[in-house]
Amino acid sequence: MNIRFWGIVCIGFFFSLVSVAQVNQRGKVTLQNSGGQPLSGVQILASGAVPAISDVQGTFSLRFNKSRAGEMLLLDSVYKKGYELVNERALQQWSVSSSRQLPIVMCPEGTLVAAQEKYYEIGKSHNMKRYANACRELDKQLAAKCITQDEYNKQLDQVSGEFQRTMEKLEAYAYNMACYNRDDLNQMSIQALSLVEAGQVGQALSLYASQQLAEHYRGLGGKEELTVREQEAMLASMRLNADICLFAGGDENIHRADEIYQAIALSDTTNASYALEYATFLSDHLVDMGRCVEWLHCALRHSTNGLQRAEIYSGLAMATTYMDRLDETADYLKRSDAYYQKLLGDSIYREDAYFNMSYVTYLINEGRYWGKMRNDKAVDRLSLGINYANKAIAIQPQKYAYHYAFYLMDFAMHFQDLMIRYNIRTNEMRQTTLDICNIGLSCLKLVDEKERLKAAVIESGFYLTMSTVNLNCSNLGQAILYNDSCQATVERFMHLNPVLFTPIKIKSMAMYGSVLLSQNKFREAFTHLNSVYGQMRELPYVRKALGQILSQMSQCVMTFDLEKDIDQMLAVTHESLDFVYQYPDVLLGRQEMEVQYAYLHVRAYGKKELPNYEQALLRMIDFVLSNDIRGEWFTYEHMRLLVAGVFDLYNKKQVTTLENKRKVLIGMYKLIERYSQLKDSASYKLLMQKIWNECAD
Amino acid sequence: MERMCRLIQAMTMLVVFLLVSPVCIWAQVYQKGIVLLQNSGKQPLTQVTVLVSGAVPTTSDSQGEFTLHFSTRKEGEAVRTLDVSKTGYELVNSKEISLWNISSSRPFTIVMCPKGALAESRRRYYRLGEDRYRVLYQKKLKELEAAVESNAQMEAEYHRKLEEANRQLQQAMERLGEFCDRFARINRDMLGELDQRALELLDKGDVEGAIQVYEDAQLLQNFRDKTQLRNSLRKERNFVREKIEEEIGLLEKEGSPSSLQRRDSLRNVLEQY
Repeated sequence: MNIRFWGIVCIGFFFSLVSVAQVNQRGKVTLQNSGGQPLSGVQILASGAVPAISDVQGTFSLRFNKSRAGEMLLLDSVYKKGYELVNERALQQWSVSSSRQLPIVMCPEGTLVAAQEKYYEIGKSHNMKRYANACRELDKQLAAKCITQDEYNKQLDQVSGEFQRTMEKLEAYAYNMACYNRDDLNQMSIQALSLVEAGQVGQALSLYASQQLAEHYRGLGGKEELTVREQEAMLASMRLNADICLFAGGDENIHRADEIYQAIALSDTTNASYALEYATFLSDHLVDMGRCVEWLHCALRHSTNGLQRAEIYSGLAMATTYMDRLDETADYLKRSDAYYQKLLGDSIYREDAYFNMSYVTYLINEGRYWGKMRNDKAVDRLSLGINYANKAIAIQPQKYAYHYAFYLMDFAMHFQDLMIRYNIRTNEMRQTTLDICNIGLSCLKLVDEKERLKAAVIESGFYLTMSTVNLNCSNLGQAILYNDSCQATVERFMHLNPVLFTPIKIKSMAMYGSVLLSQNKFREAFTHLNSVYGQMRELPYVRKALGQILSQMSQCVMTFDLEKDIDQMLAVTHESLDFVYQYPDVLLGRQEMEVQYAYLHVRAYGKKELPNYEQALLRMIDFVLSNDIRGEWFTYEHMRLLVAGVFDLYNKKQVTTLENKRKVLIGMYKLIERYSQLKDSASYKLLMQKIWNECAD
Repeated sequence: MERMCRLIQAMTMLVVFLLVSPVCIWAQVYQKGIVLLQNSGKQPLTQVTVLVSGAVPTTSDSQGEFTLHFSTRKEGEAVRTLDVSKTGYELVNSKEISLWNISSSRPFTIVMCPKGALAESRRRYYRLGEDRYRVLYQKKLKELEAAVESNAQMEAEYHRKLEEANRQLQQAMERLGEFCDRFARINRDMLGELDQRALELLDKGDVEGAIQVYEDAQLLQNFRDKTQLRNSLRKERNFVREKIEEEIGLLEKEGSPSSLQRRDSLRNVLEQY
């Protein structure tokens, strides 16, 4: 119905949800025709599941670690000595489910064959009787000359042929009759079965005929269709209701919208579009990726459209990346890409703007995955994504202008991340990021008026990114220029939506602080940052920027006078370190490092006792080792201070455990490989001597 | 006489051929449509230019109707709209238009409104939403603070809830624009009575009232009841189906021609529904 579904796009999530993919198929073993008596001790083997044995109540549970709900159940064997499986045919069509109970019916060995023989005899005698009757009738007619010899022969052939065909299949029919479990049957069927056993097949049939099953069946079908149509007529109102609820906001209204979309999805679980709609709602509005994945699977089971399947797999990849279930992501990406590759072979799709944008969504999801794996394949995939985005916007410029800019923003952020956080292909990324931002800015001019606020957010984002990139290559003039543009944009729209623009404004102010810092104007920077910090510490939704500012303030105070300003220095560094411990992962590693470094610095030179000293040192060594691989980020001065700090710590016997001592020792050896000048420093020599002595003890 | 017949036959074939072949070569698809003015009681709009790729450009007539002639497209194919325009007016239902598929039985509907009306209506909804979120957020903060003061919750719990409230506010503000646009583009003329009442209240700024309309009508409950009814009907139908399959089994076993005939008719019923 609605294949024009926007993949699933989301950026900048900071929450994490974890759930384990596992299906439990519960079931029960009963004895045939026993009034539902349970059977214990039955061994059940299914491929992909841990073998199970039924308990006293006949129940068992198959745990599938890799299978997903909805897959076909492959039963390898159902075994108990002296018993045999009755309902094999029904079990062959079973799909794994965590909600439906798997019914296994068994009977004592030999029962089935005996029953089959019994039914075979009944069938045989019934049919032979019927055949004999038919022959007698024909004979009579021939004798009374009602029919000619020719007609007689023809009809006799026909009757004989039918008799033969029925007799051939009789064995299979008889086996089917033997497999019925009376406990599952209603009164009418039991009665009919008894009639058959008594040899009265005709009467059994008239019993069925009297029920007028076909008419009843048709009637039910009609009623069901009517209900479906009535429900479809309600859908528009349901969706408007959900929209108004979301617009209204507040917990109970959001919950109501959730209920509405869930009700739609549950109204027909075989409708892929409904499931997809609900999954999109769960990811976009509730950020509930666990449930989102479940419903995407549901959609997948019933989706036949190639593009839709590609998008579902892409969405699954996004959701699993987000939940850090990266093994699954790799698989989903492969499947999604296979579909896209197939569709790319078709020129109708290749020339369709929507399809191209859909593929871009996929490539972003893949890029996000490689980024998380710290693999520079991310760069190639994202660059490819830009090509396809270019194509889409060439086909329909206005329609996709905003989406295009939005994606470019995403790309720019990724590249900036790759460059600054992961240190991947730094120079190439720098230029590419700037190019992307320029294209994005020119593209935003095409955006429709209704999206001007969203466009403004992105616009300021572009400016900020360009400013950051320029600052990183010491292009100060440009950095200031772009930062000013950012602030101008923010000022223009601030009054319309302060919640949206305040964080950007603060980031931009922090950026100005960075510029001052890089010019070594520490006092000036500190005054600026401190006033920003004072303004924003009460604001709730700007945590990331808050951390950034604290880290910069820490850098500033290190340059202050240790005699005069020690109180201020202590206060700032302490507050910053507290922030780092309270909100891990908010700051970039580099910024976190600056905070810890400042803390150590003040501690070392200010000769003050501070808590968390050992912890800060160890984290710092660890951080330098795992991130600054080429020895580029930190100066010799940084390292010398680190060493001095560690030495000081040893002197005061504050490195408490042997394990930590070992960590320091190994860390120091590795540091020397990267910062060879350290070897000559006095404190390093003293430190190593000290550690060796202690470890020897 | 016989020769005459042959000749006539040949000529008919020729005529048929002549009649059929042009249709094959220039098989055209017609797509009808109508342009309406938003919230006007279904008033038609004339002189609207409709530009669609693969069709001859056209304008709507005095009844607001238009017909697109596609020469190379087939029934059911997606249509890419290039432009719908009339001076002083703007397009309202752009999203539906992006989902158009050629259909000779279902006419396209284009909804337009005077230029600027959409933006005005969006602005109104925007103010409405913004004020509301601010009030809601402040209420929530007060609640949280009160809970902390009365020691009903731990500090950590407070921070977590505050964080959640912030996220909600941020998200609500981000999505606000989208919702405003969606509401602005709704054509009141096409709505049922229930939706009209809800939107009327929403337009007056009574958000709670709008939601209450649906609550009072028990829309969700009705829908769920219908799902339940549908499931129970399906369950019953599956049950009857099983019975019919039993009967088919028996009929096969019986094997007489009348039984087999009945078996086939039963199978037919099962396949049809």
